Amino acid sequence: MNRYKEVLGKVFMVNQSGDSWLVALRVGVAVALIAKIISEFRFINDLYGSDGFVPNAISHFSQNPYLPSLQSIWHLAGGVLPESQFLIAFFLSQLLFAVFLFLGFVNRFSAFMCWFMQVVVFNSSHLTSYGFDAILLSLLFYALILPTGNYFSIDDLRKKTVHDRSMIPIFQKVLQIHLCLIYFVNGLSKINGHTWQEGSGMWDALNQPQFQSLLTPLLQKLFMIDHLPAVITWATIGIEIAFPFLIWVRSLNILILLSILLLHVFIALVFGLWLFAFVMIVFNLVAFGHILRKRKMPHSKNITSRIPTTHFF
Amino acid sequence: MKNKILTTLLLLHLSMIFLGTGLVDFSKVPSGLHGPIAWYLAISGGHPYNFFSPDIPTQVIVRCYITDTNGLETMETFGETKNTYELRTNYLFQLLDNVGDPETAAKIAAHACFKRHAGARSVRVSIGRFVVPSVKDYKRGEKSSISEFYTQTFAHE
Repeated sequence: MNRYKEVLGKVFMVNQSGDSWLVALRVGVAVALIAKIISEFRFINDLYGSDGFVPNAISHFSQNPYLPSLQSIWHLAGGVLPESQFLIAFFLSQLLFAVFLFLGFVNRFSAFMCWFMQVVVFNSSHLTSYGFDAILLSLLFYALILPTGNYFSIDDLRKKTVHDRSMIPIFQKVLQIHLCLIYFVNGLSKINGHTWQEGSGMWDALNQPQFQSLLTPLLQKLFMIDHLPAVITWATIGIEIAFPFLIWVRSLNILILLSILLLHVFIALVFGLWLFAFVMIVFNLVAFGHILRKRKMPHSKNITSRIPTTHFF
Repeated sequence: MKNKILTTLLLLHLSMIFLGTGLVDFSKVPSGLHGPIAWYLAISGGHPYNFFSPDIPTQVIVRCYITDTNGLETMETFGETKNTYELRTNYLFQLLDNVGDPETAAKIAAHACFKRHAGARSVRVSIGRFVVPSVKDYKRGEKSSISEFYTQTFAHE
């Protein structure tokens, strides 16, 4: 039993880093939230107003009744402001808290406000939300519950305290397992799709109006090469399915990490889903980014051995 | 002790995220737990993680033909440009197409058009799927097309 625990411990402790990933999490999620608010600001009435694109009468059915929505908060506030002004105030406040989170200023409170407001937004707009919103909410949740303000933050500068780091490897392990689960489930789901099985998935996506970009004509020409669309399509599934396994293999983890990062860069550049791509890149770098850094340092073993660890198993 | 409690909570969190992926048949979970699990997933960002799957969806294109009081007709299209707003509206139309509810999609599009065009007398909504030719057909010169499958006209009351 002990031998079994030792082997499992060794396998899962391959990807262990210091605490810089907590800074990357805080900064990355804050930047993603700031970018989201700025890119949506001119549409907030249409996207989130009770008489917006999805009228409240319809969006109401998809909301969780045990969570607040933008409309319920507006009503709770007594409708002091017209709804459009309330929405502006709401999103400007969230933007301010996101900047505070970026700086690590009153970090826990800022993280709480960013997360809470995102829960409200997510609950109010389930019908128009997509993968980016769920990943952003997950990362905000982690930014709230983990000690993201303890390092390289204004809070850290103001009160120099010694932090207990014993749980940090376990915190990171949770993010790593979560990320592996995302790719595994997504890859598995794609295997069942006939466009992915046929090898036409990437071609179909590339040609949709919503994903057209400056690169589309070039890629359309490139995809004329025999079997290339199928190779790219199957490679996508292969990378996603293999990720949760190969990321733990010391000799292959850098390759699989770079492949998945490249996939997200491709999604950003070709499909224009830059917010989704950005948040996934942040998730990857937070969970496994130290793999890239470690390779550059021949004595990294000695460095990591100085970090107090709590074994997961 | 504190660390053990924290580790247990984190494992519980991961279990919830796992449940949210849909890999486990949710109907086998005791019904009394459905509400709390859904609530937890809503606050922690749990998701089925089915991005671009099981298939690349055929994009839904919604066109509105707006007639004003002078009988002049203008057209608005949802799903042909790229910005955050369009991305989100596309997602909604896709969702409604997946559940086979073009009527609600038409109502939403008409509502948006009446709001944007204050003087509109009627709006005819046409919903179609964007058909991408296969690589083979594309090489032969076949172009993408829109296959209309639902149309409805709404008049201003």
